Amino acid sequence: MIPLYAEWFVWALPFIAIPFTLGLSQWPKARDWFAAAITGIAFLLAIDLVLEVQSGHTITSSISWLSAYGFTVTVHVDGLAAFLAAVVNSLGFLIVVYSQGYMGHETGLPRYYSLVLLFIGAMTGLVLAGNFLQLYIFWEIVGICSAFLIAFWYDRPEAVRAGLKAFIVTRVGDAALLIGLVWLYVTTGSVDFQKLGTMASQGFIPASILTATGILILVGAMGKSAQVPLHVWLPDAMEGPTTVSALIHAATMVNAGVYLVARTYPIFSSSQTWLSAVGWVGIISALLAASIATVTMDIKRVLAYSTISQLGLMFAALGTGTQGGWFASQFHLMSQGFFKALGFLAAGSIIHVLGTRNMDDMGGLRKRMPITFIAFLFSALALAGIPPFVGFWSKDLIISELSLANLNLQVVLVLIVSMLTSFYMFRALFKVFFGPESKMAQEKNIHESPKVMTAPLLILSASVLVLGFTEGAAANLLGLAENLAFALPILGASIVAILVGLTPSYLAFYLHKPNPQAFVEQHPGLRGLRKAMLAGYGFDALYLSVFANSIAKISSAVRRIQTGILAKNLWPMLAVLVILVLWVVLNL
Amino acid sequence: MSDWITLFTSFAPGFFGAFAILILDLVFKNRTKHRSAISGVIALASFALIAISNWGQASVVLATGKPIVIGLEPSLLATTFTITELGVYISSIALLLSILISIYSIAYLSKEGSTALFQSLILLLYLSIYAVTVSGDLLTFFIGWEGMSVAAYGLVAFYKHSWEAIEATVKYLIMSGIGSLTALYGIALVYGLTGTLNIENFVKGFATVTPIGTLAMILIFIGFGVEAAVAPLHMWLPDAHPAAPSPMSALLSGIIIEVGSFAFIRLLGGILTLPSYVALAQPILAVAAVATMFVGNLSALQQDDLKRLLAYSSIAQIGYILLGIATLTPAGFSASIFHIWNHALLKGMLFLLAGIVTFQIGTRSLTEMAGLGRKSPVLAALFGLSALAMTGVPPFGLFWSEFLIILSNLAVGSIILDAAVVLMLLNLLISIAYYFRVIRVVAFAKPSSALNGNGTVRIPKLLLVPCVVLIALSLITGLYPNMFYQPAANAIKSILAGFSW
Repeated sequence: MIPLYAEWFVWALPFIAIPFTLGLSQWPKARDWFAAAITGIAFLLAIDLVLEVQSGHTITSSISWLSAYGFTVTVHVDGLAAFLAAVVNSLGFLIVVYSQGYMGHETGLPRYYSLVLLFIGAMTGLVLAGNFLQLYIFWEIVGICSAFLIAFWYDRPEAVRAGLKAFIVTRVGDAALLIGLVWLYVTTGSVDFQKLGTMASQGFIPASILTATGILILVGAMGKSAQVPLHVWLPDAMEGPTTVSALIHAATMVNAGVYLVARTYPIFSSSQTWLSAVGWVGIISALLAASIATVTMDIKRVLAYSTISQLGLMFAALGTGTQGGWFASQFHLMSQGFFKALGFLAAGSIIHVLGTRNMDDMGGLRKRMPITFIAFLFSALALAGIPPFVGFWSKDLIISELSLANLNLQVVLVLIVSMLTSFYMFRALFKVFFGPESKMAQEKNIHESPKVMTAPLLILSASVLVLGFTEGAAANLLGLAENLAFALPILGASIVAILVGLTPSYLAFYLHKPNPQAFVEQHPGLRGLRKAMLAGYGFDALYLSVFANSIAKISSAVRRIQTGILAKNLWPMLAVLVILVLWVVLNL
Repeated sequence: MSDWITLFTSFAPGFFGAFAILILDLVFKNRTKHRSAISGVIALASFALIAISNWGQASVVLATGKPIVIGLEPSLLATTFTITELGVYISSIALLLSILISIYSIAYLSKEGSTALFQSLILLLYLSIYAVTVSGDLLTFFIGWEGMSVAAYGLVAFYKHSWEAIEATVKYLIMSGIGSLTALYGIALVYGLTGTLNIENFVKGFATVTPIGTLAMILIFIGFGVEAAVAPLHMWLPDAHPAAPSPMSALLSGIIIEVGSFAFIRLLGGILTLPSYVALAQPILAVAAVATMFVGNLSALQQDDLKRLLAYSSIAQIGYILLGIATLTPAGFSASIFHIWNHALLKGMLFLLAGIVTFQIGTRSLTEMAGLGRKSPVLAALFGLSALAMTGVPPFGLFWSEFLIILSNLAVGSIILDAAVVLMLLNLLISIAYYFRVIRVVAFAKPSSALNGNGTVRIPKLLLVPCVVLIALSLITGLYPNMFYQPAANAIKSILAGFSW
């Protein structure tokens, strides 16, 4: 058989294709399908990788890079990497196909397709990276792509602001990640994941340094995976095209943080402090985001907050410190990727025909858009965790693993998240597809989206229905030694939580008894809570006043130093001379 | 004897070229169409000869691993040249930028009639930088330094009818003059203390910390710190760099202020790396570095004048370079030198792009140039890529040098440097804010009223080619950092090994 070098081409191919995409600008149709074809090939290469490593062996291939420091470019494919590569590229391919319809009438498509290819390629490179530094480089490229894609409609000031916000907020996390990885390098002389893992297990790295660097790297992961308090960029990122949201939420960007924690598990998981930090960050994010999702009116923002919440569950699973929890997080990552991509693409289909994101302008769309309805329904059922959809399997695995690790408080909190999830997803479902047809839908006389958009929807719908049964195969691929946890009481509790969430949702948003608006108005406590949730618990306002405004003030003050008057400019010179002489005299 | 031929081949093409440009410009006074091309071609021919000569020297230095030392009788006071790997590295950056700027200026200054003065000043400026980088003693160093400053004054004052340029030049001249005299006083103290001016030898007199020795070093630091734009000695820069013609600004920001950082490493590096000096010097350098980056970035944040914004950003970059020097380790020095290369490429390019904007629509104001990118996608792409690269994101070269500066600082394990790294990361965040503004305004914003109506913009190829070369080099550096980092690291190693203790 001809060697495919899949471990290199799976991420290099999209990069190589970018100039060709730009070159094909004269023939827009050819260009768009060329991009789709490239992602399709990348998907096949990813599948090839999965097949190659499924028997437990790994592929490692490296070339020298910055020899003075011993840095190399290393691709390391094991079960985890291949699994993630397959998730990224399968979803990426479907989203690019869907883009043919969704983005067809837009201008600026050369930019769109080049960035999307770069995005997918960089994310694949990230998961195949064999060392920290290389991962960091792809990590940054992923960040740039997301910023520019969020700001794709650059005529809208809010889109540009959201893009910049995404870039800066994630860069705060990146700064921590950078310090963490450099610190590890300075301590151990290596950035290689394998070597670091061995050194950590042999006790070569002092425990305090492990904890400290682990926390710094966790902060980086929180930035990319939008965990509280670095989550503020994700809801705003909804200003981008819906396909971009799907890419960010399902295939690429936000998975990076969860993946990073999973990848560095062998290095840091000996630190109990680190594990509980990971777990609690996840639980808090899951709770806060799920609660905000219950009041948001923008359909895409509901999905965005649900992403933060689901990612929180993955972090919670990683906090167990067990191999089972580790696997549960990655399985839920895949599960979330598929049902969230489905949710976004279905929402995109609605936005495409209706031109609004406000759920109050929707309603009764079930009959006019049957395929979209099925897709959104499946996504909601999977997200809520109803059997046999994939979300059921992955979420229950997380809860079971938490209970197996005796983290009972966390189990209760995750059940509450589960309840909230079912509440807000059914709220969205009822508001958008049931009830009387909205005025807007009647006026525009809307109909189902074109086939190129509904085909990916149907494929994804089928996926969320069957992927749950691949749990055993996935566990095998990721090299899980122990048996998967499964406890009947947990299953029961989980179903009860879903029903407890569903009931008020059904009463309020399907039967309108009581009317939700009036009900909240009658209870001052609820009114206040709703206000706080709508303000996102004030994180944005806090950051704006503390960081952005104060830096602007300092900047104005600093500019006043520059008087432009020569006589005044010479004083600092004398002052420096005096200070330096004094410093030396005092220290001699 | 062959030594003197070596020297002759390096200096003669520049000198004679500069004169030839001026004389031939007079001869062809009436051929208005071709005047600027003739000057440009002679300048480029001279640069080609210089490049060949430098190539020869570099290959000897690299092959033997030892510097080429050219000197008069040792009993004489001065005039020695020591062509080191570090000197070759820095002067090659200057040469590359000078050549690209010479090409660019043929088109850029064609409206001015004669470009002879400009082209010959670039040649003389390059020669002075070369003299500084290959000098083996403090006097040669100082003379080269002054030659560099004089050429720079002339270039800042190029638009001699503009009040802005004259005012900026006067400020630059006075401040830099005072700086030079301060440095000269420091050099005099060095001679008094050690009895020699040879850079490799004078460090012997500094083996123990003495009051006069430290005073001499403080004076040299402050003196060269003015030209290097270390805060708060940078006050001349925000006026001078924007006032000069854009290609000149590219040289000023891209290499001249960095020669100041080179001076710190070349003259003080050997002494300050001694354990007895480290505790004394490290806090000073770290504080100066952090102050410089904050002044630069915070001032740039709200600038509307694109060239002023870039000038402030150069000050911030000097802060990063200085932080690498503050480690007082070979790794930190190498990272700083590597950063000089990366910054020269990108800042040079950004000034050239700012020049294209001025050339096309005659403004430096970001508000007025809004939407230019919609009229010229090539310009938008180049602006976007270079501004993005300046924020230090991979896969461009600047990422690597910033990363290595951070790495070398954390490797030292001093609390002060650790804190400085955190502040540097904060500064990198601030710089994203204003570079993204540049990208947004130039590449994406809706056209301003000043721009409406004049169709698509066609940019002369001669203006674009240097920019494409620069961003390509930055990308290559990012993808193969070894190619440009390793020479810098070797150069630092041999410089520090050259000091005989």
